[in-house]
Amino acid sequence: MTLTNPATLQFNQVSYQYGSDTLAVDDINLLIKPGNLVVLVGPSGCGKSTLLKLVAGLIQPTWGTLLLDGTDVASLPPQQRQVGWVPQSYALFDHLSVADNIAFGLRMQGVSRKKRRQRTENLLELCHIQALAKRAVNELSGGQRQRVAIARALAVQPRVLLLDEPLAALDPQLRSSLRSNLVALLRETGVTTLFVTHDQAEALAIADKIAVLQDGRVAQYGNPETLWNQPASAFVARFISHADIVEAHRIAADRAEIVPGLVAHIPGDTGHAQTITLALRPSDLQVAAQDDQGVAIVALASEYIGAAYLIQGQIPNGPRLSFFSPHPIQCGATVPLQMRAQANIAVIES
Amino acid sequence: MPQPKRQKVFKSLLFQDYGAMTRDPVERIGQLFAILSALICLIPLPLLLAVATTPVWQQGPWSGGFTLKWLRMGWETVSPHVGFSLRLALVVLFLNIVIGFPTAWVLARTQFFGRQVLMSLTMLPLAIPGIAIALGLILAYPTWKAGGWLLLGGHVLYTLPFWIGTLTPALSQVQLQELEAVGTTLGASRWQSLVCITLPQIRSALLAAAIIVLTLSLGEFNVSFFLFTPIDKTLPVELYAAYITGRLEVAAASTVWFLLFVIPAAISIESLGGAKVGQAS
Amino acid sequence: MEKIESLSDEVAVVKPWSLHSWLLGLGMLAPLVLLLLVLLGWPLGVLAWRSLYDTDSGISVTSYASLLQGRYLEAFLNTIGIAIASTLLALILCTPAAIYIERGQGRGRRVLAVMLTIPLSLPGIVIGFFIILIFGLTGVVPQMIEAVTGDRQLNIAYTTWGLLLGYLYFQIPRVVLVVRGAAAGISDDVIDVARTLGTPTWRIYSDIILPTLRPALINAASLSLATALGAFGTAATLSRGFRVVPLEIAAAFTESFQPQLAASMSLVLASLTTLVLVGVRVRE
Repeated sequence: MTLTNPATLQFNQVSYQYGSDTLAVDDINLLIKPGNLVVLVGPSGCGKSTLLKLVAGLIQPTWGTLLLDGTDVASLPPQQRQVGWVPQSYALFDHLSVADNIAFGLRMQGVSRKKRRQRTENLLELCHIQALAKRAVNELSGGQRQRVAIARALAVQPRVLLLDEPLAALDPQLRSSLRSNLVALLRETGVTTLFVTHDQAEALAIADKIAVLQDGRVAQYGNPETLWNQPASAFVARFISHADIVEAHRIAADRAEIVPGLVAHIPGDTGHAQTITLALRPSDLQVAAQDDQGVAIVALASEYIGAAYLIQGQIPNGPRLSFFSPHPIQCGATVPLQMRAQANIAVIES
Repeated sequence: MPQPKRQKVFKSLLFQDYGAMTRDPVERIGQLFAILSALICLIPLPLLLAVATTPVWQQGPWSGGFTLKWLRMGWETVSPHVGFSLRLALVVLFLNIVIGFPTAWVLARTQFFGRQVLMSLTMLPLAIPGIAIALGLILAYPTWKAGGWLLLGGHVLYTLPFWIGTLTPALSQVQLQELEAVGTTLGASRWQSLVCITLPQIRSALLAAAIIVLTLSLGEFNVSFFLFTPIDKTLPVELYAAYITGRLEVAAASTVWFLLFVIPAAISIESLGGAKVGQAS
Repeated sequence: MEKIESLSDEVAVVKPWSLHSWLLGLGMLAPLVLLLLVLLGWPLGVLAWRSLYDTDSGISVTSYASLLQGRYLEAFLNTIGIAIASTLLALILCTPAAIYIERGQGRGRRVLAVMLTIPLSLPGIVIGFFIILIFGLTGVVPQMIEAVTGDRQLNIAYTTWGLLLGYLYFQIPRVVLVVRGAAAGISDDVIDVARTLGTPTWRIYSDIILPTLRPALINAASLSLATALGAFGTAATLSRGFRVVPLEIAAAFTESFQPQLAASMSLVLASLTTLVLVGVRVRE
């Protein structure tokens, strides 16, 4: 018996409307390859959870088709889709034990008792929760509940696994270690996974591919490095890499001036427009060694982030920029700011 | 007079921590009033037992010793009607399930034009005095009185609001709907999800609602008074006859038997999350 | 923030109306609608008709006119008076009690809460009988007084006072439950913040707790008023001299067989209770 049944999932112009005029999901086109871990990331209310419910079949798309291994499932009820859905609350059945929770789907599908027990044991082992089998659900910790919920979804050999903020309910201290455990488990099972989060760092850390959602639309879909280095829009740049968006003046094919004294190297193949938009990440900038280098910037706020200070500053008659500094800078102080030599500045296409 | 002594023991058992008492004057008055009200509610119960086990109450409690004679006579008065009352209550419960469960489901799970109106309509029987509706029923369907059909109808009418009022909030919980949604993604059909998820999840609300319906039906008097027939007499109607015409001791003993059905139910309702308060007395 | 999103998403779970689900919903509601029509709507209609129509004299409002004088007017005034008096008493007694149960300290509160709900499941006649046991001719209180003073006093069961106590008895749980629900909703933080701002205890009550409880108090008052107006069991057991409307309805129908009079009294009483209950809803 295989663990899962990884499928290709394809969204074709999928839209979902509720009420008379609210588009929760607006013309989504995505292709998700078998076994991929795709993270849907975006701010609150961007339609991420709705997208999961569409795949689960809990709601039907208003327009568009949803293909699982090439077959349109948009009109199939959830029972016939073989899709595992894990909502943010985990939604465990608290009237059943851990083992009965995991066996629930198999019981519904009329799998024999013997096979059910076999498969439940496999999953308990896979998720490292053998010791919990007989426990009541409300005796479990947050991390254990998450495991049970995922084991329950995996029990029916889902073609796609849908995880809605699976880490949000956990303690921040536990989150990163549970995250790597979870990813290891997903890799081991090889299941196609849609993973929803509002945390961009989480998305970058675990995803094969990321879809950034904004107001029900896909703002960008690509692998984490692409999103970091070539954001498709100011929104993506701000959301994924906390970049500052500035206007710049092209002074050569591969150089642009933000303000006099601050010049960015840009890829040479970005057209000929004179005025271009750049995404400057804090890590692209640095405090210059000498006062006469770069451009003067007034520090407005300073945050100690452990290895360095994240400074927010204002260039007089210029933009506001954030940058890292190895030393503390007093608010109100003026320091020289320059581009890092290896900075790889992204140009936002308008 | 053993009464005051008993209360004292009871009180000291419950409220040992006077030292930790709040200095808030309203809460102190509140504590006093709560104890007072609780005593008002409770005193009749031991008193009832005393009357029911005293040979001649007029000569004072247990003046002539202790007797079970009245309790025996009380049982003889009450027992012929226990069967009918219980059967009636069970049929009333059955009809509540059949009519009320689908209604509660629709009210909890769907939005439609007129939903609010329907909600108020289901609660309307509580607004109308039982005596008025009983009169209406008997004037409207004079031929149905025999056979206890009107009695059954009246009881269903007065218990249904409590049943629907208890189940609708339980069924409309967002968490429950999410559990059902997970169930369907795991392959549960509508029917399987009802039996394997919904019913177990709302079991305490169901139990509370069932106990409320049974207790209300067992204790119903206002509607029953007009609608009973000599063959189909409910317990409270028989009790009333005992109060009006019978000997005090026998009436008390009959009440003891009646309360044996009702008081445990009342306590379990409260421990199951409480009743929806309505008008019925 | 995320919580808000998942809540707004719940709206999306409600499926759009299809003909199939519409018919299913209608089918599920049909038994209730039928029941209400047969057992409530039609009988009330018949009641209205019979209050106006008599086989001898045809259609007339004489029965209503007779409610405006003598015995029946007095019954209405009695009923309204005792309902208001017992409601006020219950509010005064039970509001602090409910506040204490939800907000006070002490281990007995849970037990008190259970005790205070007991009268809810007792039929009115049993409550009436309790009053007889305590204040009847051979009630425990008159007997005790006789044992001390040699004179039997305070056998008030069958007077207005006895009836008032009986009404109070069945109103206690109703007021306590409604007020408790609201008192439990008052946030401790709000009270604590008020305390740190230097608010004296009486102002915490007058400016925070009472305004918060106001809707619940109005609800509790309307519920216990309506219950008292329609109460039949307690009155039937206790009332020998003091006549209330439900008793007059029963008497008019069973003793003097005047269905027209009984029907008109029933309708007026039902309108009163409905008005008291619905009036509160509308105000909200």
